[in-house]
Amino acid sequence: MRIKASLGSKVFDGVNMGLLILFALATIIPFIYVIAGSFATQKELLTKGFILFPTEFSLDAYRYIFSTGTLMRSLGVTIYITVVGTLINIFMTCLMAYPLARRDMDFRKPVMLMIIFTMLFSGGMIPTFLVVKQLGMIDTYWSLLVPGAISAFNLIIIKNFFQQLPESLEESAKIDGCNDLMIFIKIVLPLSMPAIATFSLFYAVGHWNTFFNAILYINDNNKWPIQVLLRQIVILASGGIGDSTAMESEYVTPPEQAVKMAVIVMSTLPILLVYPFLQKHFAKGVLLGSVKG
Amino acid sequence: MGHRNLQLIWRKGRENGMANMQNTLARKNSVSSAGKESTLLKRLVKNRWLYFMLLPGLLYFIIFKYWPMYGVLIAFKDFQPFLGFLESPFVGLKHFNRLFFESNFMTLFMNTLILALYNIIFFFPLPIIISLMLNELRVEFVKRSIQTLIYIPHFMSWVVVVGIAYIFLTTEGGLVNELIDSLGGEKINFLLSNDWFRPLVTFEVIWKETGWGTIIFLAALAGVDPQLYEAAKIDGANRMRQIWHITLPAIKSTIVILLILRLGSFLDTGFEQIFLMLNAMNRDVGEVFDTYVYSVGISQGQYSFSTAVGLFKSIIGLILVLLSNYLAKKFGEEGIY
Amino acid sequence: MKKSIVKTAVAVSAVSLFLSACGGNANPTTNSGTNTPKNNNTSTSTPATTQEETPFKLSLMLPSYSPEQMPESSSVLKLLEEKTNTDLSVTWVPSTTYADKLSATVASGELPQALVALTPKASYIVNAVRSGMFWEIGPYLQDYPNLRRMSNIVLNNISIDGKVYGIYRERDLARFGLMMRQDWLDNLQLEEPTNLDELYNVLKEFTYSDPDKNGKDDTIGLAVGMQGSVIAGFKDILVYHGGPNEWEVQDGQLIPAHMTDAYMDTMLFYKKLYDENIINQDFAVVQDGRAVINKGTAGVWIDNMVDGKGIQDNIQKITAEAKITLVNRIAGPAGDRTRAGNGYLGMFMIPKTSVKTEDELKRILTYLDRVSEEDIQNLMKYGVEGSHYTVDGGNYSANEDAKVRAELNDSNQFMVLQDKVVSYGTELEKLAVDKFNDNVEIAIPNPAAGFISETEIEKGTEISKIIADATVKFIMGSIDEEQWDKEVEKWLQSGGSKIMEEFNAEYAKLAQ
Repeated sequence: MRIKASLGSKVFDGVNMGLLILFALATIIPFIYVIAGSFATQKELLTKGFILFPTEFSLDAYRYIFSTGTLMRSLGVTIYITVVGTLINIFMTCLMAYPLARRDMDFRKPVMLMIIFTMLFSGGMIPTFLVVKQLGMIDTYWSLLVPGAISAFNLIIIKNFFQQLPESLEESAKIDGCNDLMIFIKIVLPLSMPAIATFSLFYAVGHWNTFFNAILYINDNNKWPIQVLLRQIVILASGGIGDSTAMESEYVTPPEQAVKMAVIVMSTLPILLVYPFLQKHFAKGVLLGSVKG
Repeated sequence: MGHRNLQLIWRKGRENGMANMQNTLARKNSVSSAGKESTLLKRLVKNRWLYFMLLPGLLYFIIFKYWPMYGVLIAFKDFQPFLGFLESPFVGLKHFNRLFFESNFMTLFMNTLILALYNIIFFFPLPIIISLMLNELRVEFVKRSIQTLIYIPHFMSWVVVVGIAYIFLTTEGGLVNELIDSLGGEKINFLLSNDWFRPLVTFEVIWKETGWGTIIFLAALAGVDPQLYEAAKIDGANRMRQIWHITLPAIKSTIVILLILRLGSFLDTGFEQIFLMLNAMNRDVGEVFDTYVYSVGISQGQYSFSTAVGLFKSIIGLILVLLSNYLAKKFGEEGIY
Repeated sequence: MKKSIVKTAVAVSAVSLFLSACGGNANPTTNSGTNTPKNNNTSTSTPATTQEETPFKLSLMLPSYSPEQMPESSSVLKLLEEKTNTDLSVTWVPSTTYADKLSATVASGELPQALVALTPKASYIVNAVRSGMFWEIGPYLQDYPNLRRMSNIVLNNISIDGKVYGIYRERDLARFGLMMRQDWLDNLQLEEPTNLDELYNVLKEFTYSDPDKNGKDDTIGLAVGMQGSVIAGFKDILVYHGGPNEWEVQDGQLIPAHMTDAYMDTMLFYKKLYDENIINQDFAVVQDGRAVINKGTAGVWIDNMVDGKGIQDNIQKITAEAKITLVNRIAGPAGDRTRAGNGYLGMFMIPKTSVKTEDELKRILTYLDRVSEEDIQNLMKYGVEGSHYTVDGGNYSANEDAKVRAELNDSNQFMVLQDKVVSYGTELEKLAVDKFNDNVEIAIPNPAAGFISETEIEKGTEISKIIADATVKFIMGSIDEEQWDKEVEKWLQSGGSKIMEEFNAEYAKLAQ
């Protein structure tokens, strides 16, 4: 009987891994195309269309992107708002999520309803813009860090994660004389590292992709994050689609196809590098050891 | 806890089907009733730290969400940016009339609805399934690599994804059609067809977002005590049963929450993808609220109309959230409020 | 562990701030664009320009079409300021988000002294004009030597309720034509087509007679793509068929293009091309048709002829002997005709909220007038000879250095008139300019361009899709003539007939 169980288990493992590998391939192949394309010549991209490896290697696309003097500067801006922004996000979101996760807090339900309401109904671009303006944040980095400080969606899920922690932990801490804030900092947060890692990633990606808000709130183009630059390149390379404002748009010669690919690679790479660092927080059994009586 | 206690937890949890087995012995459900014994003021003082912690977030919501909330009323006005909100003329239900009676409302509604249903039925379960599968992987290296690879498509903009779809699916030298052709079949006009539009759009979403969607579930699964699996194995449970009774319950509440939240944005289809995929031949099934609003509204600076449509979608979303939350609670789940 | 995360974060932020400071122009005097509504410098004196006057502070909002905006240290910008005696502060806005940014700026009430309105007939602009937000510029124009030269046709195009509220930014009036593979014509010993029949013939030969001489049946005659929901080249072929430019006057009434016979003829023409595989069968999903001809397997592309050089450069990467020629005259039943564009791309408008006095208005007009002088026209187009380009015996070559080139980014956004621009450039570019000028002789304007119809503003774009989609469907054979008529009927009932009414009312007023 023992042998049968492990055979079934092995078959399961095999099929499981096989399917997952197939899925991974399906997702990665187009990306390989993009990477290959970024190193290919215009000629090859035009004639062959889809390639997985360039026969003629070329760094022109990257040279073009790096030749823009603003790249490094806007990269710096983006890194800054991503790091600082994410810190603010996690701080604000977790801080608010914990009281809402506690069943003994009186105003839980009304506050939750208030938050959910904002997920569904919003004042819109111009009223929000006016608020930001009245707070004096226009043309400063604050406009990119504060108005999006808490995502209701993330808040609700983090609260849900906090709720799943066993209450016995909090109770024993209280008996030891901790107040709620200390429980939060010393017990809840460390045990919630998977959730915090996850939402740090989510928030970070959000900041990394900041584009529209930067244009809306920041007039000084020296302060623009990198996505503004990258998006302009992609739009130009696509023949100007998305340019809905001009009936006859400005006739600009689009940069080469490879440039569009290189832009994607550059947009994706940094986050790709971040994720593996966060993965260790998804290790199993984080709660292990804490519940043992 | 001893080995024997783990057995108990696993069995009891399996019988009761409760969400979090680690809490089975520890959870007390009596907090709310116990709390009401002391007065409100006493509780406020006792929990004062909690309220302090709540304050910054509350301020944030009030300032950045509720202060501009009057903007919702733009739906009932003819908003002119230079006049400002107060001076813009009030027009009542004019924009809603336009939406319901002068557009192809039923077509838009059906298109949006069907796409939303496709999304929930075909896309929503996939990140769950994939994360369960990933969770079962024993070889750590493979697991980590696959995890890192599958969420890459999330970072590609829709412009790129639709561009790739074109390369694969066009009748003029697209890879898939070339393959079909070489196998003796007849080329299929995927991109210019009413029939293929919805499957294609859904497939693109699956490809792009499944990997990213697994992240939340993997985070939830990280909290599961591995020893529970040992206990289950000893009881003779095979892999599928282990998943059913240990893994799945651990992420059940997360699934429910995400589903409820998803319903809140039920009629949001995502503008960019659909806009890029639309053409003359599939507009009948493809035109949804978001793309319709774009062609009518924003590009002409007509904010009122787009706000009205947004309001309509939000109300539907609200109803769905309230409904699903109520149902979730009926089934013993936590719900979102 | 948490502490180390915070430490790392602080370190990273510090590094990034450092990067941002030294990566670009570490220019401490960054200005924030849309301020200085009050203007304390223009004081006084007589408009007579004296060198001693302090530079006039002028704030502008301009759309940007480059990934990188013109740096403040640009020598071109500095020279412009010197020559116009201004201190310019520009707020650049990427073109794709221009409308939203402009609306938000308008709503905030803090407008620059001069802004570009890319779509002057948009409802929020029209309404703003009607409520008196912008200065009426029309009456002042004759006081300025250069602004006086502005074309009446275009002024009419930009007018709102019969009055001129802005200074348009000139673009060539008629730039459309065919870009054709000269080497294919040579290989097949064909002449450039001069009328529709010859054009059809050339396209057919391009498809079936192996013009690239590679033994493979892999070419098509005409590259077609979509521009929004409109088929590239359609409007031009329509005009060649004797059709109108958007609207036509028939028996004293304005009727839209899609209700003319020529429109049906054009659709049938395209249908024939489609059925005979002379155009790419997937044209309805191609976002940028240039990609099709750039591949080297298509013979003709119809659009703005300025693209000719780019296309030639691209094809030459694949086939070194490829050459593009330009054809702008294709005679149809009504002879040689071509489509006139708007003649402008956006116009400068001057808000009364930020420009409060007539003196200040005049000073701004002086600036715009000065910008239209020959020297500044060429400065903004090419830069400074010796720095940004050199001309060696008639051969123009631009400075390849990226930093130098960046000084000219979006420089043409400052321009008003472009009639004094010298044309350098390659043979092909010179040919393009010749063709543009030739086009002016045969350009057909849109008679309804100056009119405003409320229904058109509200619904125009929306219902135009009915016609655009039906056109594609007809060409692809999924609807027939009867169904086409039904679609036109639908357009009429969804607001089309109202638009016609409103335009005709305006037209009638004019005829009096």
